[in-house]
Amino acid sequence: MSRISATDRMARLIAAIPWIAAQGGVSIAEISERFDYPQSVLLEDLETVLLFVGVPPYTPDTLIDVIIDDDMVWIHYADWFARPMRLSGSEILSLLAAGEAALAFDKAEDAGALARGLAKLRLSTGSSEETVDVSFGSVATPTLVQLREASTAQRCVDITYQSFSSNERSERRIEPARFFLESGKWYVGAFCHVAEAERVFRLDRIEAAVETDVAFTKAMPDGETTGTFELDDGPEITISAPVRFAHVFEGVPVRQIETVDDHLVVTLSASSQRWIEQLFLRLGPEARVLDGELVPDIAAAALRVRGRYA
Amino acid sequence: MSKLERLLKLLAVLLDTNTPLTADDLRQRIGGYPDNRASFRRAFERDKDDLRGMGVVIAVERVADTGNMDRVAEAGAMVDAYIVHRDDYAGQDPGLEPDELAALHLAAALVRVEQLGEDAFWKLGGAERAETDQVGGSVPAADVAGQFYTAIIERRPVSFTYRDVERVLEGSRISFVNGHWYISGFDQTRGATRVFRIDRVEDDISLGAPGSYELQPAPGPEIIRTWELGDEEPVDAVVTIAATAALWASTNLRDDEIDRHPDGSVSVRMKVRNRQAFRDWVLTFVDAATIDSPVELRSEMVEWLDTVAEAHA
Repeated sequence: MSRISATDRMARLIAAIPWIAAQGGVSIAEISERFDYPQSVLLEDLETVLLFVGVPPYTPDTLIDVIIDDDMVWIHYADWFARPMRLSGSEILSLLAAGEAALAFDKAEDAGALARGLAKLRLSTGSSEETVDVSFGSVATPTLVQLREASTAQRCVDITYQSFSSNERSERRIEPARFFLESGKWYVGAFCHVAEAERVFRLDRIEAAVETDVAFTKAMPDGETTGTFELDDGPEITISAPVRFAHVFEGVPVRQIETVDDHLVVTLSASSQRWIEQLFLRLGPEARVLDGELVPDIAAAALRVRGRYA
Repeated sequence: MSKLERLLKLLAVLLDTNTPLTADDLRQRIGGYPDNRASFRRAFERDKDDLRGMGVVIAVERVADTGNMDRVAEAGAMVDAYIVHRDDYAGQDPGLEPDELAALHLAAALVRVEQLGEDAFWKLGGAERAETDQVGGSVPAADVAGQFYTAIIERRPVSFTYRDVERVLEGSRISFVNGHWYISGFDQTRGATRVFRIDRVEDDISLGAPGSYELQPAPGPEIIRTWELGDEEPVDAVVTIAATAALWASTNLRDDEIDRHPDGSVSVRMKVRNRQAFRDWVLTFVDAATIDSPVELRSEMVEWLDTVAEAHA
């Protein structure tokens, strides 16, 4: 960071002042680290700006007192900036969301500090669990704990998985490697012995998990896990549907989605006939297959479901 | 005088004063503004915008214009005067211990929330760098949700447009479920409790007077059930779902809404306020789910399936 704007420096200063004042002497290096404030800029702002800040008549007793000795800093008489700025509504919500998500993930470990921190944050901002409710899917904590332990121990896990295709259950042996949160759900990226490739599984769709004593066979490459979902086993299909049905594609790992006039053109992987059928039944009479090898018989599917109402 | 020094002095003076100060008062107290009146106004407006951009709440009151050294005020003229109330500026210190702050900071590195910057942590006393590579993923920005949150905390009714209808809501609960922010509360325009998805709120929201209502516990959408998000006359429906899909179906329902059958299938009771969302949910199970009752919803489903079959014949 070569140059930071006056307002960016101001945001750092009015946060740092009460902290420094409360600590007694603090080193320049520590302030710089905590407030992401380059040392030279910090020193300059303390020496040439802050010393002159106060209120009229700007006599010594109405100015902030800054003492710099060697690399230590003391601040006194900064009454106007005695307390840091209030957190904004969106900052409070964001902190609670991040904290609760991490708490769900980290229950296995000593999450005491995080839980205590969240409770204090809620208390000081008046946000009870009744007014701010942040939840991250119905992940069975034991499953998460088991998968994390297996991941650390590099042991394969046998899972019973309820696939995206709504009601197909499958048994798979996986090597859980990476965990991530997407659209409010926890996922695990793993090498799958059935697919013989990396796949992504949604944790709340894992019905059962049993740790084996079989060691990992693959080293997962480093880096971000992206949308190689278990769904991605099938051939591609491109669908056109009215824009008002956009919600049908929410939470679905699509490969491409674009809006053409009042229609969506969506390309996704047809993991199973059944999965495509349910999409079309929900998308209604105006949806069309634009391209794809596996063209489903939608009329037959509609009549099959209708048969249940005969 | 540098801009940083001027901004710090402006904020100190606005926090220090017990009575609102006019632009002329501030110019005189702070010094460092351009002499030319028009240039001063521009610089002063920019400074106010900068402070507000940082989240400082500057209260504005109308006071009698008393003029200044080189300008005589017109009789009866009124001007804006400014003050920063200390309780608006600073919040209650949560008093986080270093390990608690570090844990929160690590959580924010673990789960990135769009638009959550380091400055939130500066306000908590700053935190050491937190790095993690084990997990990723993000939570959508809580900017509009943040406004709804403030409205709840201050008990201010919120006016906004949702599905082309003007609403006035006494908010009571913000929820983050399935990757979206929701607001629930008492909808004055409908005279009933409602839940809204915040990213579908159409235009700028506006907040009414503080302390306008008592907080009523809202039905918590621990699980957002799309079929309940609507204004239609509620209909009680029963849907039976085959054993193969029973687990998945149950994730959206409470235990007391589910009847479990010996063969593993389940019957679920749903209160439907949005028929289109209900149909959508039932069809995700294809032929593993059947609407048992009421007749009305069964016939609507049959009609829909016939239309789809015909269109694809």
